Amino acid sequence: MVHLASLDGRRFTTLKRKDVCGTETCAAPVRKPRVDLVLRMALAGSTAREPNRYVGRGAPACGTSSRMDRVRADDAMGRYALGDEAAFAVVYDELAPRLYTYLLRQCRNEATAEDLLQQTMLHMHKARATFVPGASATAWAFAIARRLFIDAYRRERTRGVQEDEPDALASKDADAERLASARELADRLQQELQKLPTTQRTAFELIRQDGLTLIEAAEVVGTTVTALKLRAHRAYEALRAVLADFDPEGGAP
Amino acid sequence: MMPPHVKEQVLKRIQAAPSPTRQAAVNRTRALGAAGLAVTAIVWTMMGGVGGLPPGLLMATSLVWLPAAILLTWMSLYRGRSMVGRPTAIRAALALGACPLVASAVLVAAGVVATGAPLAQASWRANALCVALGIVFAAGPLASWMWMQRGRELLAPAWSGALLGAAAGAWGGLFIHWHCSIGDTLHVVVGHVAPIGAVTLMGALLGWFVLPLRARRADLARRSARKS
Repeated sequence: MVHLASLDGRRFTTLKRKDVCGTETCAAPVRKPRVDLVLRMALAGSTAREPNRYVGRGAPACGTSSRMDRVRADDAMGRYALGDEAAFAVVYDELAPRLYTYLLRQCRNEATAEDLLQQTMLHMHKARATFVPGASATAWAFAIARRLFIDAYRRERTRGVQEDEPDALASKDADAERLASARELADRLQQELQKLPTTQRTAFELIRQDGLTLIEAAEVVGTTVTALKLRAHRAYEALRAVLADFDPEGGAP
Repeated sequence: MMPPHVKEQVLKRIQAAPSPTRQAAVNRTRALGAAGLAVTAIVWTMMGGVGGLPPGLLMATSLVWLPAAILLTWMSLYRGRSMVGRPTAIRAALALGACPLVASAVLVAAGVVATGAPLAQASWRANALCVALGIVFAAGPLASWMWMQRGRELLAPAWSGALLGAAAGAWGGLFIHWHCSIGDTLHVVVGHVAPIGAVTLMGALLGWFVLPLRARRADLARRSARKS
């Protein structure tokens, strides 16, 4: 049997050998999934993880954001800058969940992430007069959040919350073996990410985990799109090299 | 999953502390931006205004210096379409390159005019006085622009401060250049252009403290209390 996670990480698909190579008695080894798929599985996270129990490492990626969402956020911020007071709620609804996920991943502490999220939204409110029509509210918000996080943690170091016991995480519908494999993959990805240079890790996380476009991510870190692409590419290649030997059937060799 | 009470808290806090809209703030911002230069211009006028440099030298050097000062001011204050400002590399290049480029341009312009002024005639005391006055002339614009940008910098506060310093220094050097009567080449470079470098450095140091957005201490204290 071959176990594969779907690309969004929400469910596993079990394939019989026949489906893979055409015969029930085929002796040829099943081809291991491509490394890209392994990486996507890791980014999607565990299938049965409950986000509100497991904070910190491996929190499910919240990176999906459509162009319409971005346009909505930018438009709402523009209207808020001009005086439409009701538009701030729209800005909040569009940006706050993604910002919270980003801050939670950085801080590894719910209370701290909440505080920094509030400060980020408040700063956007106070500085609304400076909002340039046509600018990216998403990039601005992430840049504010990043700056607040950096400033807060220059003053005090905060440890992440401890992971719950594995039993507490298992859902009654999940297969324990698949869950363990997915968690191992996600943990391995986080470990390898921490080993990367900060610039590469930041580029990778902003694009792949926070769902920013290249232009937005370049704005957030204050560099050009080309430089950011290079950093993200190097991070991706480094992770591919490390995860190339990961076997979803039986975990790392 | 994000806690639901956060939205309520945020909306409550913004209602308690209203902020100005773009229309309300734009005139104030422009006035503040111009105030620093206006103060410098007034002080310069009270000190006697235009000095005794040869008109050809004054015109030629001003033709390169004035656009450089305007360009540096524009690049430091106007963020373009990005809310986080220009890339750090561009700010750094402008801040570091301002002084040498203005010096080169002024030397070329002075060479083109070829007034026949000696290479070095002024005393070091005169050089030091012009440097000091150049810094004084730059203080007004630097202070007002730093005040405008305080607490807003998200990326590289030191480089942003340095760029503001370079722009303010360019204006300070220009005003002292217009005021001074000594036209020898070394004095122009050391006494009039060098303040750009000095004020750039001052801007970088000030920018490190004044410009960056900071996490609020009250929130930090609340977090520490919650942890203990």
